[in-house]
Amino acid sequence: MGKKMDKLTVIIPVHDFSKNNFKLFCNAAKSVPENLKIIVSTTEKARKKTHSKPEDEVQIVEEVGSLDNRVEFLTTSTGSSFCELVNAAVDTLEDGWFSILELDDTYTDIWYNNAKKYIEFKPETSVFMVMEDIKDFNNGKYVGFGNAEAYASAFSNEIGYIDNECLQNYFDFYLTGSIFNVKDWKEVGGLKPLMKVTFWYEWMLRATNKGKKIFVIPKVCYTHNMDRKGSYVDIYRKMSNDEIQFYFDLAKRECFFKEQREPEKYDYKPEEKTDKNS
Amino acid sequence: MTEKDLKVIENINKEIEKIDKKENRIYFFVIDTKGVPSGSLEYIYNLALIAQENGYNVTMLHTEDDFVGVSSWLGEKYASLPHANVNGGDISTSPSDVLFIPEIFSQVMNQTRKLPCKRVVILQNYDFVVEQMPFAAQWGDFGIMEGITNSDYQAEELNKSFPYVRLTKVTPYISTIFGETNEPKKMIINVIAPNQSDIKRIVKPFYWKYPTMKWVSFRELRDQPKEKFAEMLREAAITIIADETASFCYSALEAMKSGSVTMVKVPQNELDWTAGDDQYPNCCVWFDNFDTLHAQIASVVRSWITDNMPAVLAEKAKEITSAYTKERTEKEFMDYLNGVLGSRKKEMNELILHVKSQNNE
Repeated sequence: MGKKMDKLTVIIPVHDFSKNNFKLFCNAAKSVPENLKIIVSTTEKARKKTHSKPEDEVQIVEEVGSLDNRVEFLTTSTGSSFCELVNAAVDTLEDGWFSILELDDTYTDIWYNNAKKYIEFKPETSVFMVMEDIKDFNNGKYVGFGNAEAYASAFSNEIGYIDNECLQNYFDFYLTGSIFNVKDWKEVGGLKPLMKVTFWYEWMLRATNKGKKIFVIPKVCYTHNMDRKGSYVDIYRKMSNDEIQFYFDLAKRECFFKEQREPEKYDYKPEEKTDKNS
Repeated sequence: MTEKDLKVIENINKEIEKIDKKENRIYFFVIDTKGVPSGSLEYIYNLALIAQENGYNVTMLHTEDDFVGVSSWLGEKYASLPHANVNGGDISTSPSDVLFIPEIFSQVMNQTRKLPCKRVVILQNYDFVVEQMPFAAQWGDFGIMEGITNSDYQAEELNKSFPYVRLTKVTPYISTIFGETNEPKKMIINVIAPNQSDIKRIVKPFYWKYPTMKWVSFRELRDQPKEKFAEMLREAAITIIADETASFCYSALEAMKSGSVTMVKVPQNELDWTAGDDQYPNCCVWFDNFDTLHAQIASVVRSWITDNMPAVLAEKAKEITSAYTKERTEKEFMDYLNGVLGSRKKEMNELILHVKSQNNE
């Protein structure tokens, strides 16, 4: 038997508290089990833009339930990207585990109990991903399972695990809803905001390079709504194939560095196309 | 009393003494599966081991010069039971001995009919009797009047043909190496099917029909050592068993005991554990053809990954498998064996009285 999931914090990064997002946020937060602390990682600008602080919190209490000492608003000035909001929130944690909940997603009812169960029996594991139900945000239609590939025959060297070898050929994973060990995360380093759409992929490569184990809990613990306007999938779809390829290649190069390097290394510069090439 | 009669009485007394001191021999005729696991053979080895643990001299008999045995799948505990090749010529039997013969060996029943020992057939599959017995011959012709069986159904079937054979049920047990731990399972589907083409009929169309479930891994369990087999059952979320000809379907009970959701093809004959009012108990998911099985697999996978498996499945599985304990098998078998030897002694004492009374006359 392994370690216990002694402390688990849920981080909800919110870069925009517009009215629609606020509704989504409340819905997401309501799916967090009542015994868990929530860090809402946001910016001063985002908070000022919407409701005044007291009203804001009253409304959240009304929507989400008893939140005494449960929801902590973390206002960061380091940046408003998803990666920056996540990094800022993890910086406030010292130990235990954390999970990231996107404001348009929800945990399923079985998330917490399964996380507890699997963590107890796999003490050597740093990240517990979960299987996800993927739905189209715009029409609610079911798209498929996320992260299930880890259970495909011969996908990786050990069924259920995602290792560095399989990451060389496959990258379509979802890390929101996963449970991360705080200490291991800090050893690996945070997300790199300039990695654009491949920041999770780069982080996984970096973690597995360092010998960290990533396991997928074979239970549908998270409902992932895709294709919301402005989401990373939306951005990804608007990119050219060359640009996508650039960021995947970049991830494979940058995963050997714990910290993000000079910004110019992350800039995609489309090759100047000559008349002949075009 | 003549010298000859005195000698007869002395010999009979020696046989009685052998039974009392457990110096007689208990023979079990076995087939050599060449290292391939077999539930039926394990049943016989279990009985032999129980007899040995109760102080009897047990010997496993076979006819193979290159006997492989069971060490690779049942382990050394079973393989180290004394074995002997009957073709070696140094096997002798006496009236105090008991010879157990599996139903598949009709030839052995015939060849051993003049032996002085008690002969008992082990009946586990009536189909083997039909397959192996010569036309126009029956067990009575070979002097077989008694047997033990693993299920009431088998006894009923045999008694329809040979009503004079007295059969005693000795319930098999599921080894304690099968069992559940608290460790969560992996989303793996084990497949146990003697027919290789059945595995293809399960796996390939499932992927064609349910492309969103292409990530589901099927794992064929074949020829695994017992402990590895138990570990694989314990590890997997789901186990499919497509063996409708099995007479007892030990694998299904083993899978259930291991906490794996068990999907079983409806058997051709009634199984011991499906008998009763509830023909197909809710201990497993039953299927009767491969076409509907694919939808059932998709549904079970979905239920398992969302923690929506009906609780009754695990509850009923526990209830059923808990009946197959070693204690029960041991009691039933030892009651039987001691009863047989007790009767044997009684017959011998009666014979002594008979010899004496003839002399008194």
